[in-house]
Amino acid sequence: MKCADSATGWTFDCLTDVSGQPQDGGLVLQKVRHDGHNFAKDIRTVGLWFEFEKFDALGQSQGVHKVLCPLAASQGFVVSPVRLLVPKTMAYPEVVQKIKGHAQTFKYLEESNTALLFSDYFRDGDNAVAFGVAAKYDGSLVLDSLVWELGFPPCEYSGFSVEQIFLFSRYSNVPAHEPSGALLAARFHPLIHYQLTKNTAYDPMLSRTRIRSIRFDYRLHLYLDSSHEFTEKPDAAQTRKRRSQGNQAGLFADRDSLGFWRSVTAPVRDMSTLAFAAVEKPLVLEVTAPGLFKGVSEGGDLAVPPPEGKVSCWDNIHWWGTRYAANTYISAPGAFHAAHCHWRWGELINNTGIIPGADYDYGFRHFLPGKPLVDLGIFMQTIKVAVTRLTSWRDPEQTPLAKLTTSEWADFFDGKHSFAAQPIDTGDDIVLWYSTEVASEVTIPSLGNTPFYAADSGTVFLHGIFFAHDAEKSGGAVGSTEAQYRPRSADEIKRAGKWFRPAG
Amino acid sequence: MSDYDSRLRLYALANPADFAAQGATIERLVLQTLRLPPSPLRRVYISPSSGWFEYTALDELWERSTPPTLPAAPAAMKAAEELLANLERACSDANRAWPTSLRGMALFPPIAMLQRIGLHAVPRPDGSNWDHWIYRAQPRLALDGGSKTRADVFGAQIEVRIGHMGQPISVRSRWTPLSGEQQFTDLSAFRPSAAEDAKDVDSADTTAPPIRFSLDGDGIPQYYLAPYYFASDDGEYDMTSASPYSLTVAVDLTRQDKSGMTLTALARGGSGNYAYNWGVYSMPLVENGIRELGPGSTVIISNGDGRPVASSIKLDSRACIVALNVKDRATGAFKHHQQQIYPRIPVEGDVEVSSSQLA
Repeated sequence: MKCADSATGWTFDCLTDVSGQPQDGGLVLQKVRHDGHNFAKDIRTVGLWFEFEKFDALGQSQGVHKVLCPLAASQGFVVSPVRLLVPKTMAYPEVVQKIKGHAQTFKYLEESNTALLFSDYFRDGDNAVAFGVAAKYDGSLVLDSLVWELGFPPCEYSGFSVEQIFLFSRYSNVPAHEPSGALLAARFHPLIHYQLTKNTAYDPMLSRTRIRSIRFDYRLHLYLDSSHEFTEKPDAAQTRKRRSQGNQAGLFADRDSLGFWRSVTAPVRDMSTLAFAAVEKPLVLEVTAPGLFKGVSEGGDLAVPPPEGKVSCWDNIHWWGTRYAANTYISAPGAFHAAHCHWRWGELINNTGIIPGADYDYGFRHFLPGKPLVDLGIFMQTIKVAVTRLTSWRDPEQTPLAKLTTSEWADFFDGKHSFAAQPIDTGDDIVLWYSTEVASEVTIPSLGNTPFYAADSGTVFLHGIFFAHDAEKSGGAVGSTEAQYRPRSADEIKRAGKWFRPAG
Repeated sequence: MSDYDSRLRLYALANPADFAAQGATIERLVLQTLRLPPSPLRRVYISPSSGWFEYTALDELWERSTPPTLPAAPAAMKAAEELLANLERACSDANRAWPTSLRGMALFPPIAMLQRIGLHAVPRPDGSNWDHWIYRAQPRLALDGGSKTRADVFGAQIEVRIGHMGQPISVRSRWTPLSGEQQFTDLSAFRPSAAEDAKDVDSADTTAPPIRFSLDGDGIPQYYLAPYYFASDDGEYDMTSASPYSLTVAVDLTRQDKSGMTLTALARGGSGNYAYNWGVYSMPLVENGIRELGPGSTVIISNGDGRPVASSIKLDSRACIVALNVKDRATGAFKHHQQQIYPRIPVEGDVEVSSSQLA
């Protein structure tokens, strides 16, 4: 299904069967572009996993098991056809429309208050925001079936329904994508909303099964255009080899505090040093990396032993087309032509504006820093990302979907049958693997000893990815365009050859 | 130099729907300029939400079956700039065929004022060949009454793609046409945002940063282009007001407890006497639209601007996007604002008040 929306500027192919239903496994979008700029070659979900735990009648755990639950009719889902979401036009108040070209704009604004009303711009009940595709998967007995096949006792939930809603916004500066509020971009939200339904036959006094977690695995084959500036004819031999350099990516962890030393030396430090606690730009080797650990960024915030208990997580990943000039990269901060995927902003963002008692004229933290950008009802999410080269065994065109995900997410990349992490620092055809696992509960000692329990419904990937495709800017107002590595140097990363590289 | 010369210009924007309504005529004029017959493979589109313009040769951009032969860079640059000049003439009063209803207005920004950004060759995703050249330019407008200074229009950009044998295969104009109405206003002194204030005062750069106009984006209510200071803030731009008509708005989660979260909005840059109207939507429920919530509760804040009017509203503690229309009651200055809200993890018996000004 060709999907093109001039109103938002997005175009893509949505793969469907002859009846208009999504392929087994869920929505698949290909050749995704905005305003003619390439964004992705292929976007899809590759796995949805349940982790079940069996208890006896005394409440003693009898073991856990992970089960793959593909979004497919064969799994027991009633699958809807793909639905197209088309945004309505934003219109100006009728009184203004009647004035040719708004020719008395300032008089109108001064004298009338109708400009304040929303109903004139965005009609009630109309989607005025996003283009997109959606599909529903009604699984009223899906969990019953999974648990029964495992030979486990009844689960607390029997049904599991899902709606995939992949949304694409217009290009704008509103809502702000960055804390500065000055980076135009179009947004992509590959949302999965789910709803668990209670099992009426469930008896907590008998042997039973509980859901420990639900995991959603995405495969995002992002591809952004390279742009090469040169004056010679583009087919000259020296430039021909440049054209296939592919993409690069970088991982960043924002600073949560400036610290005394950095505060006093701030004027002489570069922006990247001030902004990032850890950075690997561009990624040296293929990588698996932690993004959130059950809703927190520091493993030490949870009462868990090492190694998880010592892990510091990354806050965002950026993706860009390899640049022509050797050893130059997108600016960071900045990244005016890049895909930005932020699941958290550091505490330092705007934080200086809230010092108690200070008389700042603009003391508002207008980007709510330090919080995970996730659905509050299911905030206990573990986000992990991997970046790999495209290979046949990781390509859904050549490998069955069930073989693109493993019960332990990292095993697909770093398991005993996998290869060593390959170099990707000079650019390659690379793929982003994003996974978020919603735990059923978490205890965060610093917030009390009472566990937080996940809600029966929620939405993942709320933060989305924003796609800026402006010309790269220069000058003192943008971040570094050089390679940046902290705390590990590029040489250390190469020597160690590790897949798993946390921020700290 | 007269007082008029030193004042800043405000440019009223045209109603984009007026241009969209003349889409068929404009398509004809554009194709005439390109010397192309009408075809389903040539898409011309004017956004009724913003007036942004698109022309695309659908069978050429990324889809050409045989590898294109691209011209050398100087020829591609010339082709792009000549096309823009021709399109400007075709889609303005300079063309007698320009629709009567659009007289006095032009579809494109002033081409003579464009600042060339660059020309780049773009490869095909499979690396098999170069696909086209992309030419980018930054729209600018006269900033002062005397037209001595030009300012970039942040958010606006022109892109022209030059393909096989030097043919234009795509034009994208991120530009909302001007209505022709202008108003003059005073330059406001540069006042850094709180984050800038909090840095080491002795070492802070007190030089006023560059001024740019701001175009907020496609589908965003905006009535005029106003000037803003674009200060550097940790490698990103930080917009602050440069005139009484250049409002900025920020929303903070000022309180959260079991009953919900309180959001407080504060405008800056105007008289301080602001009227607010809140709306809300969520991405998973985007089909439900933007729900209007009303003006919220008035909050008077004491800060460096005097005692400006802020507004608070209480919502369920759920991730959402709040929308605000803000008007300065004294001048009519208007700003539409949207902001993503993520409530924090709730803690029993704990509330958060982040803005100490809200006494």
